[in-house]
Amino acid sequence: MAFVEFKNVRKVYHMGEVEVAAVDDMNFSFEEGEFVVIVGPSGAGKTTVLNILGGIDTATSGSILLDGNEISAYNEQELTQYRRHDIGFVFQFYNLVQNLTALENVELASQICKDPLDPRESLEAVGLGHRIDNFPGQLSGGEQQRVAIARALAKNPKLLLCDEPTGALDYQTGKAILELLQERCHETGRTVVLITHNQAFTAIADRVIHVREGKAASIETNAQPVSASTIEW
Amino acid sequence: MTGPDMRIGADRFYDGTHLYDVRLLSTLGYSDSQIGEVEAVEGVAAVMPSKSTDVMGQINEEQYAMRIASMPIKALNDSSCTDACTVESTEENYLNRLILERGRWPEKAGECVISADRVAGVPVEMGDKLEVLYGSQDLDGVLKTKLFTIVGTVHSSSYVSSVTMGATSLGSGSIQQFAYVSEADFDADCPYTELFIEVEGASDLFSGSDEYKEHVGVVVDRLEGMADNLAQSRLDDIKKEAQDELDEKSAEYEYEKADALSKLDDAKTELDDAEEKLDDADQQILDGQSKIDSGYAQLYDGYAQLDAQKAEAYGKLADARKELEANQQKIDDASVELESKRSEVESSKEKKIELQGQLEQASTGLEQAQAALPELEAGISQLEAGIAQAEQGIAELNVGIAELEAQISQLPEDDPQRAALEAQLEGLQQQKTSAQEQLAGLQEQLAGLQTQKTGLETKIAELEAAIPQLEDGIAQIDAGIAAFEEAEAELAAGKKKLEDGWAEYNSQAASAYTQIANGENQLYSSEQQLIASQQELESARTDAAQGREELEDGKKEYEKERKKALDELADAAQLIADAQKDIDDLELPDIYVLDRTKNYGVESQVADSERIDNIARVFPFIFFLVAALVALTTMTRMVDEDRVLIGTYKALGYSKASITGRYLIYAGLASTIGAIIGLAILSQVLPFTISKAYAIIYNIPDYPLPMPFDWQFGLLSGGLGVGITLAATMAAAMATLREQPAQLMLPRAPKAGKRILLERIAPLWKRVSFSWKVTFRNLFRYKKRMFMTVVGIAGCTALLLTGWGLHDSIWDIIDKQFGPVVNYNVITKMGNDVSEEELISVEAYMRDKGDTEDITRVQSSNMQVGSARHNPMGVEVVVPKQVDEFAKLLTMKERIGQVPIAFDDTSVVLTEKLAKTLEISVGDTFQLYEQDDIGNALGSGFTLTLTGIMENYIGSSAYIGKDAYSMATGDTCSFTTLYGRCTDGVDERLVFTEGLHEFDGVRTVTYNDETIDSYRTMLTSVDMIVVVLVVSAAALAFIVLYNLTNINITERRREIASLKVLGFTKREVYAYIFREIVLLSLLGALLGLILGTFLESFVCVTAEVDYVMFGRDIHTSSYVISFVMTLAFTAFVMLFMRKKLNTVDMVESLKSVE
Repeated sequence: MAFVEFKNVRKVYHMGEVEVAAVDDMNFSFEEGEFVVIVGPSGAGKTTVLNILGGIDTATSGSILLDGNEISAYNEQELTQYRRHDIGFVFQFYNLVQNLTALENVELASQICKDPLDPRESLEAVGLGHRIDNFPGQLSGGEQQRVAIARALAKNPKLLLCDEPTGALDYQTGKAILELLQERCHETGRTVVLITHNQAFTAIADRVIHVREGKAASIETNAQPVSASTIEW
Repeated sequence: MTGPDMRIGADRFYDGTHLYDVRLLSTLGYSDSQIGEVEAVEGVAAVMPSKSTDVMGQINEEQYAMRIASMPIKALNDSSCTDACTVESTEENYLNRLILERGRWPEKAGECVISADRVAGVPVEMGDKLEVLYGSQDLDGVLKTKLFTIVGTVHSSSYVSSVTMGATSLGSGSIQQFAYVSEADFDADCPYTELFIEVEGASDLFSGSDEYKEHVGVVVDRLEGMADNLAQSRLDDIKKEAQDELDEKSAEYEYEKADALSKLDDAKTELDDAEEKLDDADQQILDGQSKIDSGYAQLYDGYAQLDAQKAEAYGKLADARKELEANQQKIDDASVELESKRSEVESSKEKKIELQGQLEQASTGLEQAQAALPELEAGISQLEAGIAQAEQGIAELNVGIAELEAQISQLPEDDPQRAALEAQLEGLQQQKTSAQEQLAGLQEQLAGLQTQKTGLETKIAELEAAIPQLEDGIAQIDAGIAAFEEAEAELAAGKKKLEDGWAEYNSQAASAYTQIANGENQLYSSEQQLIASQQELESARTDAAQGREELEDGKKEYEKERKKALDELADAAQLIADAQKDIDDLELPDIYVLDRTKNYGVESQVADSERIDNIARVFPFIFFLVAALVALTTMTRMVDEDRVLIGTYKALGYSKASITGRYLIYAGLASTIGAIIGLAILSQVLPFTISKAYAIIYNIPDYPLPMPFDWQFGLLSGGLGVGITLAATMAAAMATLREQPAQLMLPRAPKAGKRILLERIAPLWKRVSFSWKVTFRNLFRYKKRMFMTVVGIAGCTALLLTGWGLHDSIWDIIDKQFGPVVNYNVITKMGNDVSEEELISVEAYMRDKGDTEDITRVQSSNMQVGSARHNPMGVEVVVPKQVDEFAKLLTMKERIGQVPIAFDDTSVVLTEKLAKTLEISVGDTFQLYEQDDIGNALGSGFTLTLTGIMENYIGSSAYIGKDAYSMATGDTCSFTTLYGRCTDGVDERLVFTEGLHEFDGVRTVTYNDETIDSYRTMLTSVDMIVVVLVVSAAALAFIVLYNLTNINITERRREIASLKVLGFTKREVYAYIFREIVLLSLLGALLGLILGTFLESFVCVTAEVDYVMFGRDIHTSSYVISFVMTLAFTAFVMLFMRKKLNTVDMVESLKSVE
């Protein structure tokens, strides 16, 4: 059985009298330890898929299984616990708490979960060992995103979800972040799901899910993923 | 603007009712011609003369110190009340116009109207009576009517304060009620005591304003200028009038004297005649008595004779009766015996019949037996023959049998004949057997018959013996019956003889009784005659004795009358001499020219309204501060939210002014609308509420809504509110506009995190959790918000504390005054001329009937005290006779530290508020003045040195030791006021009071704790302010907290969403956000407690009335309540805001930068 499984998932938004299906009968699955890239044009439903998978949004119908647990059946409290212990999120705009230092931002996450990694080490692992006492405002975009990744990883989640993590970054920094993610994934054997509209990213994935108009148009596995440092866009 | 509103309302009332501007008072009154003189003074528009006097009146069992004043009845009845505070009248000299509340106007003498506002205690119905008990002066020649019918109740602008209506020498010293009556109720000789004057044009000016005072002052000066002339002419008038009257009186005296003496002589002659007549009557009585006595002697003889006769006759009758009774007894015995025999005879008769029956039976039985015997004998012989026959048969058979047997034995055995023979034999044997049986039967029958025969023979023998016995018995019975009948005949003869004997006896007895009764009747009638004559004699005797007594009385009376007449004549002579002296001694009257400031109600109403002004100066400050902060935050946020828009405008080339203008117009419009609504509501509601509260004290008619609006003040407050908002908007807009358009187009960089001072203390910081770190950093990050929250909450707590503290202070007045300070509750005032014996007996009464052994005597007087820094003011001066007794009923101690104050005969102690008003402390000197009737200090006063300041909450008093008092004033004291204690019961008190009034010297009995009720009413009105404060505080807390929390949450949506994504539970998110608010609330509340303490003390001192000192302590419970209430408000807002936190949507908030 697959590690993560989406079965006939639908997500319908009501916009006044119109019903819009952001995700429409989505089916896919992937295995533990894979680096999964979900790719598709804007409005294809990528982010919705990620939000549903991350427990910050709920599906209208269908079922989502993670490691044998049916997430789609969770209530609000269970979802909170799910986010708390099983999920790490990295957003396009970092979403750090401005009033906490880099270290404290990581600690903020690590203090609430069961089996956290050492925050300091997490930051060192993302190459920010020397800036742990800086506030987000004192860090560049790339550095802030590194803090966000460190924060997500420090929770030691089953699943690391990244929503356009390079979207707000320049090419070089974006690439560095991508490298970091790939490296952290391979080093720790963690399952990573990354969504992007950038087709170039598919090269580095173990599995690529193409999303189009709310459906998984095609799923392909990449036997020989390349290093992020080699790709260009 | 409550203060101004109150003054406006008062001015309307005064103008509407034509309240006097100047009051002219004279100790000797005014004559009619003088009224004309006053009318002629320039500036005087109208003059209303009035007669008035202070009396102790009683309505429905309750006594009031009251002022009775005359009013022009015609004007009263012609006036019409056009609205709540205006009275129209065609009579322009009708001043101090009254507003009729209930009932009707007085139409004739003996009717009165009383205050509608001061109907305390027992409710008064129309038609109830007002009884005048006594006056502050002798009421003869002043008040003709002493019993009034209450026909209506009125509002009077002369008495707007319900706390006191003015000072008087009666009762507790203040007027409690007034009555307006017809002039006809006053003695015609009583002069007008006061003139009320309306000053021309004064009503156009605002009462109490400087213009008004100046305008009236001119007329006051003119009147004061003519006061001396008025006094002199009045004195001359009175002297002349009095002298004329006195001359007339002394002529009358001479005439009366002669008349009296001649009358005395006549009386003497009359007495002598009467005595002679009485002596004659005595002799007649003696004669009559001796006649009656001899009549009685005869009567007693007659009675004795009759008794002897009676005894003899009764003896004889008794003997005869005894004999008769013995005979009777014998007869009775015989008849009893006879009766007992009768039953015996009856039973023997029955027995005879029975015996005859038996005899008959026996004869019949005998005959039958004799008849049966031959028959039986025949049977027997028959049977004997049968038996012999049967025996013969048997013997024949035996022969046959023997033959046969022999035949048989001869025959061989197998011979056929043998069988036949044997059968024959058998037959024979059978025959023999049956014959034998037959024989046996016959023998048996024979035996039976022989037995019967024997029985029959025995029976015959028996019967033959019985018959003669029976015949004997019958003969005996017949003999018994004959004897009984003979005895019966004998008894009947005896009875007849006895009846004859009784008849004779009865006729003898009847004749004897009649004779005795006749004798008795004769004697009785002669006795009755004697008794009647005796009675006649006795009444004659009583008459004589009474006549004698009367005569003696007459003699005594004569002596008394004579003495009295002579005394009276002497007194009259003395009176005439005294009166002459009085006339000669008459002094110039004092004339007082008083303006409205001397009217207690008018003046204290102004003072109270100014007090509210003082308070009004503080609270708006707090509210404006908060409003400014709220406006600033809100507008800053609004401008911030629009920064992109502002950037766009700027980029498009709009000028700073036009962009700013856009926000200023918005802010201006919003705040103006808000200000207008706020003013419209509050300018009506608040003054209305507070005035309503004060209406308990001031009987000024309700101001009709809408309340008069003070434009100046309204514009100022409104303008200030709008201005502050505009300034805040301006500041926010300018700050934003300073940035470049390009920067503005970008989202505003989140405020950078900063290290705070606390972090420098590493050991401490390390122990702080992340949420707390964020909390602390946030507090310092948004300084403006922190400041505003703290100020807002502090304001809220301060208002609450002020409210509750004020409540404490107010109610402490009563709790701390009665009990801890004042221990007596009944004050008995006696006249100054009362004797020591009377005082002692009253004291004994109070001790006996009251609630305490401790009675103390003091000298209590209304005087004035003044100091170098303060003008003389009225106080109660109390000089105790015995300081140790006094100490039991009044506790003197300093408020701070509760240190007891030593009080001896040389001490001088003032109540705290008084000392404070005079601005003197222990060791300083002050002046003590005597005062005149209308409350002016006299002379230069006596100097005293203050030795103590005592805690006291109600009233202003000076307690002076008797030595100190005598030394200062040179007067000796008269301790004619008694303090004591009585139980609370209304009935007990009534009895107690009545008991005290039995004593001649007792002038007034007052209960000081009854005034507690009036204080309570007054204080309740101030409690209203507490409600206003608490409501304001709650509103403030909600506005501030809601606004801030709302901004806080909105600004930190992303942060909150991030936390939710990280897996923070709801509870953890609440804690994260609300922790700051809780912390700030706590800080603000603590600060507010400090602020509130000062605010409360300020409000207390400002709101205090002259004669009351509020409690100075805020109770711990009030601190706690204020603190808890603030936190409760906070908690409530947070509870409300949880919903908003829950609605923060993770997906939406994180999608992009706003």
